[in-house]
Amino acid sequence: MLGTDSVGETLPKEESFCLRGHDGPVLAVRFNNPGTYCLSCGKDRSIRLWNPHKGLLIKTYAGHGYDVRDAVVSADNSKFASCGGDRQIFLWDVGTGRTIRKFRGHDGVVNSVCLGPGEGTLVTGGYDQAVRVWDMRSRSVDAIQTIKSFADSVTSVAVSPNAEILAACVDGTVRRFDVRGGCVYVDQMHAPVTSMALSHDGNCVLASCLDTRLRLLDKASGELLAEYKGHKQESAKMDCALTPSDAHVLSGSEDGRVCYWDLVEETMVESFQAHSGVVCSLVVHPDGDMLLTSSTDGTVKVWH
Amino acid sequence: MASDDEDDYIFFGTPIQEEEESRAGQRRKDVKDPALTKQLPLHKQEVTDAEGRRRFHGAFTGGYSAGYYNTVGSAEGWAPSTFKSSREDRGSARSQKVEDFLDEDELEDMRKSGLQVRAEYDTFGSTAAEHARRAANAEASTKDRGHLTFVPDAIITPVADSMGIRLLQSMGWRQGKGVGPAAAPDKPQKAGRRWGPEAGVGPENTPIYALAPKTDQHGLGFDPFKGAEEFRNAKRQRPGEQDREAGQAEKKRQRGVAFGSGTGEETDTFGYMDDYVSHDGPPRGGDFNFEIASDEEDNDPLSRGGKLDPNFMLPGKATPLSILAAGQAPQKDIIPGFVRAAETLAPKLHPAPKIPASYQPHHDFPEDALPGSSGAEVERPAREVPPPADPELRKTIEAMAPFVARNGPAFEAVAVKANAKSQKFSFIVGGAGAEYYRWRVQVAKAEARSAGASIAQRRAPLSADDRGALLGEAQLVAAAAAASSAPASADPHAAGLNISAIADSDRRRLQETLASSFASATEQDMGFGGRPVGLHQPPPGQAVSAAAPAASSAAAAFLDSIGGRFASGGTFQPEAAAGLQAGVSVSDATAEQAAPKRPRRSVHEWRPEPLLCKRFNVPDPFKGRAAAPASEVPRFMSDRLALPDTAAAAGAALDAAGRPPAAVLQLPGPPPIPPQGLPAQQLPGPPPLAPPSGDSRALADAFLDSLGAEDNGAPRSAGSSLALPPPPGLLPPPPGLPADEPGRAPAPFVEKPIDLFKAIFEADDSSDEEKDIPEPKLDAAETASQPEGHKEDELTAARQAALAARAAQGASQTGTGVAAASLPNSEVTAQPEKGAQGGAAPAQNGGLAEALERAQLLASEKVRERLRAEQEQESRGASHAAAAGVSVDAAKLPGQLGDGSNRDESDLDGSE
Repeated sequence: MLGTDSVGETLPKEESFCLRGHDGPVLAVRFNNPGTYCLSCGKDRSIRLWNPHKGLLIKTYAGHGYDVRDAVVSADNSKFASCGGDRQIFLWDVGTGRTIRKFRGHDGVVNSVCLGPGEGTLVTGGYDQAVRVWDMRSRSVDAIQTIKSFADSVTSVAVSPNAEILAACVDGTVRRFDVRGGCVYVDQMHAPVTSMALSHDGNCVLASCLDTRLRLLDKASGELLAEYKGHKQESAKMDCALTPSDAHVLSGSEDGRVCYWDLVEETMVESFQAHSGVVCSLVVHPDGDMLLTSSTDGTVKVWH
Repeated sequence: MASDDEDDYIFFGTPIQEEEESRAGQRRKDVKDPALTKQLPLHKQEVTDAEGRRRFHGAFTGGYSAGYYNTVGSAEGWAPSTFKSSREDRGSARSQKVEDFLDEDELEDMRKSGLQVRAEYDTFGSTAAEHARRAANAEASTKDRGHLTFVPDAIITPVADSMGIRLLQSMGWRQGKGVGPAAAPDKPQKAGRRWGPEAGVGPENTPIYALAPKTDQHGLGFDPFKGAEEFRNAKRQRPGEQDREAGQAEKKRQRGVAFGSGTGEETDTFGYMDDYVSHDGPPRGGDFNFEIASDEEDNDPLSRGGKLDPNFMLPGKATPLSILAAGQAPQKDIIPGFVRAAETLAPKLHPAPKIPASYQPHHDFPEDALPGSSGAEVERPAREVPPPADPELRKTIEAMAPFVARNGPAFEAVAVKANAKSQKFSFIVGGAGAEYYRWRVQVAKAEARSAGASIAQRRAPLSADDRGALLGEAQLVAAAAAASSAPASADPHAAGLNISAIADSDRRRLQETLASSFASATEQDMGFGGRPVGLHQPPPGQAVSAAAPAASSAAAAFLDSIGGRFASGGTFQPEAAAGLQAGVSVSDATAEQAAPKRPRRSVHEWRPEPLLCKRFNVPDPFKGRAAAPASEVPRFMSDRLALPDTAAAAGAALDAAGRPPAAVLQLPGPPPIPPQGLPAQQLPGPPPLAPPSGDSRALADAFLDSLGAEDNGAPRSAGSSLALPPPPGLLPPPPGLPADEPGRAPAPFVEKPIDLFKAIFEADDSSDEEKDIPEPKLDAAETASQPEGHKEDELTAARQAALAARAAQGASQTGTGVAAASLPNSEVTAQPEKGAQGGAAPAQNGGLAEALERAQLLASEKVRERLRAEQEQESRGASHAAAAGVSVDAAKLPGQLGDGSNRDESDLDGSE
C-alpha cells in the first residue's frame, strides 16, 4: 500500500527560488490546496503570499500582534486562517487583506490550525493544553468544543477525512479523537511530539519526536511501523511531511538540512543543506515535484 | 405726530433733500445700465461707483467713495457676511481674508508694492535670483515636450546675474574672491603710487565679520583699553587675535566710542588693571606673559574649566600665579610700577612616607570607644524597683515596657492620648507604679541592646528557639514535650512518617486523582522505599537509570520535561535553549543505549459535542444518552480523597488486636444529665460518663473503618465502653502540630500575653477577655485530641437531652416507640462526627501526607454537612419538647466551638 512507487519518484533538491522578505524566522510555510500559491508565516508578525513557481511576493498581510505560527488556506482560495502568539485565530480575506473574523478563547499561544471537513470548522491547538474547534458557519464566539485532556502544549493538529481530530502534544502523545466513535485513542510516544502529519492514504500517522526520531504509526492499531533517524532535532519545533505518493518521509533538521527517508526501508535516501538555520517548516507540493522550506534564517526556499 | 411737531417750527429756506431718499433711489437704479443716467440732465446725474454708490468728486485722487459718512457701512450699519445653505444650494465654509474688509482704494494701496530692486541690479539678492531660476525651471518643465523646437528653452535656464556682479567679473573678479587691494595683506604695502594704493580685486574674500565684531562682555561702547594702549597691543598680538584682526589694525584702534557709551567719563585705570592681570599662555620670547584679559577669553587656560595646561601644574614649572615666567630676560619696565620677578616661586613637594613592609592595617580601638560598652555604661539599669501591688497594673506595665523600649517614647504619648479618660496608663505620666515602669523600660532597653549586639555578632543563622526568644514568644509546651520525646523514642513509626500505613489501592487512587488535578507534575519522590512514583510516565532513559539515585533521575526528568516544554513554547533558536540541552542530551544518551519504548495505546471514551458531530457530518455517538461525566464525578471532593481501603485495613488491625468492633460505635459520654425517670437501657448506647479522652483518637481511627464498611451496612452491636490503645503506628501524635493550648502545661505560671494594641486602642471593657486564662490542665500526652472530645461530648449531651425530652414526651403521649425509632438515627449521625474530628489528628510530613490529611478533613466536612441536615430535622422534632426545658442545646451545630461552661464539663470528664 505504501511506498509502492518509490523508485520512480524524484525528490526535489535543487533550489529554484529563495523568497526573501521576512524579517526574522519564518515559522511556517503552507501551500494552498492546488499548490499554486503559498503562504509564509513569520516571526515578524506578517504573513506573506507568494507565487513559488515564479518566486514572486504577491501580498503581505499584517495584523497579527505577535509571531504567526501556522496558517491554512480554504479550498476556494478566498480566505485563510492564521494563528500565533496573540492567542487568537485570524480569518483573513485574501483579496482585501483584512481580517474577517477573530476567534478568541485560547489561553496561550496557538500552535497549529487546520480546517475541518467541509470547512465548517477550524481546529486549533495551543499552549493552553487544549484543542478547540471553532464554528465557521455561525457567528457564535465560543468554541464548539474544547478538548482539555492534554497534559502539555498541543503542537500540531490535523483532521482526517473520516471525521477524526488528531493532535500531537508535548506530553508525548498523539491523540486521535474519533468523533464518529466517541472515543479517543492515546498513543504514548514517550517523547515530546513537535509535529505530526497524516499519510495521504489516511492510514498512518507520522510523528516527529524530540528524541530525534520520526515515528510512523498505524492509525488504526497504534502500532509502530517505522522509525526514522539521522537528522538533528533537540529543541526546535520542526515540521515533518510525507511525499504525495507516501513513498518518502521528509523532515527538517536543526542544522539546516532537509532529510528524506524511504518510508518502508527506514533509510535516509537524501539529505541536502537547505538553510543556514533551523528548517522550521516544510511542505511538499501536491504534485510532489516541488518542496518549500522555511527557516530561522528568514528565507523561504523553493526546491524542485 | 411728526406733523404736529413740525408745525411748531418755522423753517427758512429750502430744505435740503434728504439723503435717504436719494440714496434709496440710487440703490434701485440699475447700475449696469448707464443709459438711464444719461437721460437725465447733467445736474441730476450722479456719478456712482461700480456698486452703485454715489461718488464724491474733488478728493485727492479723483474723488473717493465711502459707504456712509466715510465709513465702510451704510446707514443701517455694517452688515456682516451671512451664511446660507439650502438643500439645493449647499453653502460652503469660506475663509475670510483681509481683502474682504477693504475698500477698493485700500486694496489699491495694499497692492501697491514698495520700491523694489529689479533683479538685474540685485547684487546680493541671491534669493530673488534663485526664485527666478526656480520659476523658470518650473515653467520649462510644464511646457509640452513634444515641440522639438523649444528644446533649448527647456534646457537653458536664465542666469540671473546682477549688474554689479557682472561689473566685478569684467574687472577680473571671480566667485569666492574678495574685493579690495590687489596685494596680499601680509606683504608690505607698496605705497609709492601716485594715486594711492591700487584698487583691484583681492585674491582673498573679505570676511564680513572682520568688521570689529564684539567678542567681549563689556558694555556697549566701553573700552577697557582706554588710556592703556599698551594692553590693547598686547592683547591684539596674541595668536588668536592676530589671525582675526589681520589687516584691520586701523579700524580696531578707532573703536571705543559708540552709542550710549560714556564719552565724557574718566575711567580709573588703576581700578581695573589689577583685576585683569592674569597669566597668558606659554611664554613667548620677548613678550609679556601677563596681560589684560577679559573673563570670557577662551584662550586663557585658567578660564577653561578643568582643561588646565598640565605644564602649569607640574612642580618646577611656573605656577600660574607667578607674574614672571622663569627664563625670561629682564627687560625694562614696560608697565610703570611693575618689575619682573627675579626668581620663581615653586612649591616644594615632599615624597610620601615609606610604609614598612611589616605594617599591618589594623587598629585597636580603646575599650570605651566601642559603642556597646559605652552605651551600657551610660544607661545602666537603675536599682530594682518592687512591682506594684496591683497585679493588673503590673501586667500592663510589663507588657508596655518592651514596646516603649523598642519604639521610643512616642509610643508612650500615643498610649496616654488614646486612654486619656481611664487611669489605666497613668503610670506613664507618673501615677501609681511609675517607678516600676521606668525601671522596666530601662531593663527592656538594655535587653534589646544586648540582643542587637548579639545579632550583629551572630555567626550562625537563628534557630527557631532563638527567634522565638528574640520575639518574646514562649515555646508551646506540647511541642516542646514532643520535640524532647521524639529523639528519645526509638521506634521510627512512633515519630516518623506513617505513609506506609496507607493502603496501596488508596495510594493509586489518590495518585490518579492528583494527576488529574495537577497536570504538569512529572515525578516526585514519595519518600517510601526509594521507589520513584511519578504521576506521569517517566521519560525515556528513566528506566535505564532506575538504579541511579532518585534525586539525579528526578532532576534529569525535570530537565527533560522542561526542555520539551521549552521547545513547545516556540523557541526556534536552539542556542536559546542551550541551558536545557544538557538535560535533553542526557536522556538522548540513555536513549541511544537502550531502545526507546514502543508506543503504547490506550483508548478512552470521549464525548464530542452534538454541534461538532453536526459540523463533522457524522451522527452523534452519544445521542440520547445522558451526559455521563456529571454522574461520574463524585458530589464531594472528599469522596475521591477518602481512604476506604486504608481505613478497612486499620479496622482489620484493630480487630486483630482483639478489640471488639462495637467500640466503633462507642459514643462518648454526655455530661451526667439525669435521665428524668427513663430507664437507662432505653437511652442510646453511651454510658453516662465519658470515656477517657485519649480514646478519642482510637474512635477517630475507627471512623475510617466505618467509612469503609459503611457501604456494606454491617451492623455493629453496642458493646463495652472500654477504650483500647491506638493501633501501633497508625496515627501517632503529631510532633509539630500545635494541637494543644498553651495553658495546658506543667509550667507553674505562664502568662498569656495581653493584646496590648487592643488594650490601648479599644474600649476598656475588653479586659474581661484577658480573664479567661486557661488553668493548668492535663498532661500533654492525653490532650492531643482533647478539643474534639469536648465537642463530641457537648454534642452528644445535647442530643441525649433532646432524645430524653422526646422520649418523655412520647412516653406520656404515644409511648416509647418514638424514642426507640430515633435511636439508630442518632447513633449513625453521632458516630461519623466522632471519627471526622478524630480523623484530623494525623499529621505527616510530605506532600502525600498533607493531601491525606486534607482529604480526611474534607471527609469530616462532608460528614458534618450530612449531620447538620439531620440535626436540623432532629431539632425540629425536639422543639416540641421545649416544655421539658432541655432542648435548646440540641440545635447547636457541631461545627461550633463550645463555650467555657461546656469546656469545664468536659474538663471534668477528662480528668476522671
